[in-house]
Amino acid sequence: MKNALVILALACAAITCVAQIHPTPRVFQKVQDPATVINDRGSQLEVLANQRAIVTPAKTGGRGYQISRQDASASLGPKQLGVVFNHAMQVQGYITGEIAFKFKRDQEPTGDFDTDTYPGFAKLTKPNVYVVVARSPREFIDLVKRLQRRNDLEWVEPIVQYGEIIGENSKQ
Amino acid sequence: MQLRTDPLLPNQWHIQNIGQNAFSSTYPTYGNDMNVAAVWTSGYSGRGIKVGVVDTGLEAAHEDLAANVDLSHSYNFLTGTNDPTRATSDVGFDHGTSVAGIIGAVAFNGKGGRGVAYNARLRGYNLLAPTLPFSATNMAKAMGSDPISADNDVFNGSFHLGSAPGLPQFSGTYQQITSNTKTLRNGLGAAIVISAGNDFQHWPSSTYNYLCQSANQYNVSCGDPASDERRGGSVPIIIGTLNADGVHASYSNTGSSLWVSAPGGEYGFNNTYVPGASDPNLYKPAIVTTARSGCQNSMVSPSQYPNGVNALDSNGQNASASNCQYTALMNGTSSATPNTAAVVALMLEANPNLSVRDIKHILAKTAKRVDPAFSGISPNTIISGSAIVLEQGWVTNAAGWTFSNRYGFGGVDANAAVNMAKTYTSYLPAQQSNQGSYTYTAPPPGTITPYSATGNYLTFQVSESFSTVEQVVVFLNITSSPGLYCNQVDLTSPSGTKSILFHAMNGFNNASVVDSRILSNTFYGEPVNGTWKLRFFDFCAASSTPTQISTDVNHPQQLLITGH
Repeated sequence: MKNALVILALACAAITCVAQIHPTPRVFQKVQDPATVINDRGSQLEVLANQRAIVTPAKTGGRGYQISRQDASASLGPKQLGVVFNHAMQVQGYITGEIAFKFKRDQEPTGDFDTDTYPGFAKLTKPNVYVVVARSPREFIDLVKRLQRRNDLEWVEPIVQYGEIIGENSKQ
Repeated sequence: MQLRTDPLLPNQWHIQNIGQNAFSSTYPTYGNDMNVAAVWTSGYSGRGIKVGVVDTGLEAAHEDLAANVDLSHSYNFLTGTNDPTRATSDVGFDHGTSVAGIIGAVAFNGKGGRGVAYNARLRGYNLLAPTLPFSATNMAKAMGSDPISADNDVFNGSFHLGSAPGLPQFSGTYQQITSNTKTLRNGLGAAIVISAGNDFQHWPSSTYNYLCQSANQYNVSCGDPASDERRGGSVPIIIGTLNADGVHASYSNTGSSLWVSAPGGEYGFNNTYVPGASDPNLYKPAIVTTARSGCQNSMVSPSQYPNGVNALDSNGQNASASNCQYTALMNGTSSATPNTAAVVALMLEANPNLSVRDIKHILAKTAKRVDPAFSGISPNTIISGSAIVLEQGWVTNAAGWTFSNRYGFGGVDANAAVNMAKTYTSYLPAQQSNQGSYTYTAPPPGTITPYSATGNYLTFQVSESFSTVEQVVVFLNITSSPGLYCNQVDLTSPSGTKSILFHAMNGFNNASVVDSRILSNTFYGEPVNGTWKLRFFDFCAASSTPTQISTDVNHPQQLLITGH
């Protein structure tokens, strides 16, 4: 038996035993509700309106997320996060409701940017990046779409935290 | 100068490595340190330099930190106060307190060890507090967009996005927040130093560990610095990690966006306390630094290890750490990053006129060539008859700079960096970049040839008014893939230097790649103009889901070159 293995090994060395790598068939998570999908800079971001998450300290020393099912109309915010799924990355993420956007060069917000129309409207950073904060999944979707329809903005970006965030000391 | 008036300083191999006891079973290998002691002897200790520790918190009253903590410019996002100390009820290890100690633990006080920049001012921002959801608004406030943090000279970000196993879309928000720091220090720019990530062997979440099997098999990185969109911009200085043998730490992400590497160690366990582990890295030295006081806050659980895991982390049985206020277990790119941030503080004390670009230039110029024998990873078992270069090892580019995806430009040498900073007069001219990115001139078919060692490429003809590359950012759009581990992308400069932007056998889970930006530092100093060649590979057998790159004008492959 041992000799047979040696012969096989030598034969492999001579003819190069290389098998092609065949991709593992992949199962991608499909869109569950097209009505809650927004275009996030070219990829599909699905708002899972019936899920909420709370932040919990993770075993790794950072953050974890505890998911619960809730009515779609339930509020979201820092204490009760919304849940999304990025279909390009195939990763789940969490939202506080923040949506950042940048005005085109030399443009600044006009009078229609009041906090009634755009809740939580505030400057994020220089020179002209701002943020609004949605309070429910429906409002999040609506705000993203409304901002995307404006022609005075350079980009609109839902703020999503993917997976747990951890400090970078490595753990075995 | 008396170097040994802090009781744990003799154990801090990252400062001066004489092969000493670092509480782990294995001793560090002599000489593998950051060459810090000579800087102190020259009189530099970070005095007057303000360092923002953007982390989980910072124990402001810690006996070996308090004198250096500046609460007037710190912030607690949970309480709305200026004290980033974790609440007593919030029990657990505090990563930020250990990071802060590496930068600026107080010297000559007869307590603990010593920070690399032991007179720097420490400001804490608990952006990553374990019970605080991540917020862009908070990130902006902590990183220079608010008066509370706007006069910091250095920001330390020992964090990255945890368990997202993929290439994210580029984030304009994070790019803008970090770009804003270029306006700080009266336009010289504050340095943002950010960790490369610890995903070489596995993602933080075990859910995704299966994605790392191929990377483990070929000994290449499962993760990449680019897997966190907060590192996707051009501003942060990305730091990899060296262990106490002076080579790549077992967990440190590799990638073309690395700038330099610094000590971070391995795991710090001692087999007297924890016998029988099969992984030798568990017993190699980690970093000795401060820890949140109180043994209930230890990094290792007292219930799991009643006697601790080494002679310092021994649940209060060591007289030097009777309240568990010091640890020899801190590791990760989290540790390499504050080591580098502290060296930047020393450089800025030596020469406050340095811009961020000057700082980066000096760090690269003075970096030590570590692991010089590392020649890359080129298995011939992926495609029959072809050695596929997954990692190149050290590459010398046309401008004479040596770079590797594993180490960046090499290991940080504090003394060499400070010496160069002191006499530095060749300040870099104004930075320029191409306005609007180049579109390709010779698009390949959208489908990439499967099981091909030569791949398919497209070219960019670049003609700019500036001549010298500082960095190149590539915008990638891959509309479908049999699995991103089948794919590899590299970029070749007009001078013929090649950079692997991401290698095959990676641990990315993407179904598609949409506007991901991968930065390469490989071409630093090379000529800008000429033909750049972007090549895509699919090393897997033909499948029903072939690799297709985008030919959509709204999501093209693009280059963004920055230089002078």
